[in-house]
Amino acid sequence: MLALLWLVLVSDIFAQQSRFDEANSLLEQNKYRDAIELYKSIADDGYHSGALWLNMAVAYSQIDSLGVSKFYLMKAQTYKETKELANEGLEFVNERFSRRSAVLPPLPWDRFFQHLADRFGLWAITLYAILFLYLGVALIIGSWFRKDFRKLLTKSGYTMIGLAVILFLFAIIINYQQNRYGTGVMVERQGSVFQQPNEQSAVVSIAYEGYTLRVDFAESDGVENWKYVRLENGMFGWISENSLMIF
Amino acid sequence: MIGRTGLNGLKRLSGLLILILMAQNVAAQEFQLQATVSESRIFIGEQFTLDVEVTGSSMRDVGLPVISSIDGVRILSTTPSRSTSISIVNGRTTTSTTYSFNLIAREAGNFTIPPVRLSIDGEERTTNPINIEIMERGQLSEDGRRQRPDIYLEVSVDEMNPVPGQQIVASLNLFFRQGIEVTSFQPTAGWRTDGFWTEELQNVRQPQAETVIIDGVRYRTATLMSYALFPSRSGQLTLSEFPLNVGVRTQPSRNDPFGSFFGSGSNQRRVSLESEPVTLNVTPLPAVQNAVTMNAVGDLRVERRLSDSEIITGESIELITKIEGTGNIPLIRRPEFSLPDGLELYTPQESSNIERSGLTIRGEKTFTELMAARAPGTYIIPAERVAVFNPQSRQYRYITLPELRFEALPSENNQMAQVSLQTARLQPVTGLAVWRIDSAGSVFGSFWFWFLLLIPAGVFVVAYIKRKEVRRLETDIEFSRKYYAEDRAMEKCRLARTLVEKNDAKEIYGTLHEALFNFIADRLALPVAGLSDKELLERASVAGMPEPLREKSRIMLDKCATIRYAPTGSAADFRQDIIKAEALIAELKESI
Repeated sequence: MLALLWLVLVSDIFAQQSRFDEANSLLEQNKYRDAIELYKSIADDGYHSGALWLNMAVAYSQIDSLGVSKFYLMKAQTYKETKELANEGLEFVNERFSRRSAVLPPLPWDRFFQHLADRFGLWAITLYAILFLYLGVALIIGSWFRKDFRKLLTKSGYTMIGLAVILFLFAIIINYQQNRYGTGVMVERQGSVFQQPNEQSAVVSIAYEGYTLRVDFAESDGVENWKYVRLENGMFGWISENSLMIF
Repeated sequence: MIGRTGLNGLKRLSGLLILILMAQNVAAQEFQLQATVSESRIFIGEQFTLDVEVTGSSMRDVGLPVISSIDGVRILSTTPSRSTSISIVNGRTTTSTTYSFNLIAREAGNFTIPPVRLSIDGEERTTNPINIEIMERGQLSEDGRRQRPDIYLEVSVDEMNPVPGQQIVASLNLFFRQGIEVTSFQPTAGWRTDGFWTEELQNVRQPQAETVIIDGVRYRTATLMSYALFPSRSGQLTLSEFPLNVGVRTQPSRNDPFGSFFGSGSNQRRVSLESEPVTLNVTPLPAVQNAVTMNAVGDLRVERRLSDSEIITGESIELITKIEGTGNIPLIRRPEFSLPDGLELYTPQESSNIERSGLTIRGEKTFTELMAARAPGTYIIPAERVAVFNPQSRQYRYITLPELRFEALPSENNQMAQVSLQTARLQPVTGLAVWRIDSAGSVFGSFWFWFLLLIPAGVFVVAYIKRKEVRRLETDIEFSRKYYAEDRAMEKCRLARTLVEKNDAKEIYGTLHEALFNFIADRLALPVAGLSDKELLERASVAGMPEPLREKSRIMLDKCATIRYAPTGSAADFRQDIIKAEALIAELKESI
């Protein structure tokens, strides 16, 4: 049964690889739109890879959709195997945007949790937490039956459980941040950021193509066609959903 | 003697007390309550007073009057002002307390002021309702003449049909009759100018009053304040009522004999006034033809220049657009000029300097576009036509801004930047990719997370139970005996098996007897020593040992005891009995 499942999975992956190769050859023939369609169909089937996003970014950059290209490069950046290439690509694309936003550094704790998420990932932190929890429980149980090492085992056990709790807290915060916030890239030439989710309200700022925005899903929930965003310069406001691509 | 005098004095004192109490009782009923208004015919926006007066010779407790809402009238404060006067006539003291409510007329028509409630000595009293008539200003009176109040406020605008962005001046004019002197004025919050950009004009001079004749009546008028208003959209826009507090001093009538007898001979008070709303019809701006628009309306000049004609590649250069003159300076938008490719644009800046003196808004506004050339070369900013609307001629004036150019010179650093830019290209990835399948759900929603989390919880519970058991074994002897009874009994049985090889029947049955006897005693927490087999089984029966097992145990114990003293039998018999003993122990374990 397992072998059968494995066989199905492998044949599926080979099918995606063959479509990916076909799209790459379209890209080489400068048939960018056709290549994009094929790449998109792979993604729509639920398969993804750093190479897929990177090649989509290349195709979009060729049809002068730099905002979309930046969006896919940022996605490719999250994969280990394409991180370096995506960074180079981002450098190249960013140079070609006509406007750049002033950047206000994020708050230290935001940076800390972002670093943890990038460096280890949510799953790894959670697994470390579970591992420390196991160790802690084993040491505490050991202290009940080994009177000769009771003090040492108890102290070590509680330390491990403490570490596990801290790691669980980190995981919960990272999970909350990942669920609440998303990264948006401005894909239209320019768009106004309003104080309220309607075009009659005061304009807070203008966002230009390629601007990276932090999208607040919780705040935007229930407001159709608008997203509540934080610009890189620290300003907040509402922007039309159509101006952004979000991941 | 002393007693009679005291008795007479007591009688007199009692009579006096009765008289005082009777007088008080009569006086308690003697009070007057009445409500009056300062004017029964009032103009819209005019302030008037509702007085509630309580007069009496002896009132101990008078509560604050309570007024309910009045149609067509706004109550300025529900807490009235209070004044009290005391007069003594022929030795009789009369107290008069007046509570005054300030009201302002809002709608034309006939209205009724409902009864005012107040409590006097714990009893609730009400005044009579009062009818009032509120008229529009300039409304014809019964004799056919227009009636105007003694003092009123008016907002006048110099243009009733402006275009968006055109400056209009709204003046606040106060009209008051001869004999009224205005000592101060204070605008209050509440003037709404929705759809307008409003700037208060700074008036250097004090307001000057001049005389005018309105509908045959001599009035004095003064312009108190002026505002510059800029409509921000077309359509019907309304300036709401302007609220103003005015301090006035009125001269007493010549016929009033007390007019100058007490005090200075004048009556000073504060009145609240409101102007009538003003509606303007803002007509839309005509369409612009082939020109850059920036919402400029007025007598404005526009010029444009570059901060430098030559820069190093990568350094910034400024494109400065300056608009100056008289007009809607605050509302002018940044002009969107066409710029050549290859320029990096940064967030534009704007600054303005506005003068609000006189009756016009004038000043200048500067937009600075920050740019940087990415590559060396000549950059040309093409000529542009900008449109400025002239409200006098009601058409656009087009200003042509000449072409501008600048040279970007190469720099060493920039060359390096260019090289790195060229090397940093977007390269597609070909070949075998690492594929992943979309995983739905978060860590905390997955089965494995909760499963892994439950494992230590389960282990913890099991370990805790074991720990409890170990502790009990260490401290509870009965429990320990019961717990280890089977182990010990089986140990004895194993020993008996080893003795079979030696064919020592006495030892074998002795050991088996000990195994069974001790097992029953341990399980039932009975003493091992000092009990016969019979006594043991009786105690076991009391403790709940089933009869068949008791019988089996008895037979086995008897057999062991008998053969111990008359050892006979083969090794096979011994093994058979050991097996029986083991089976009996296992059976007993289930029952006791």
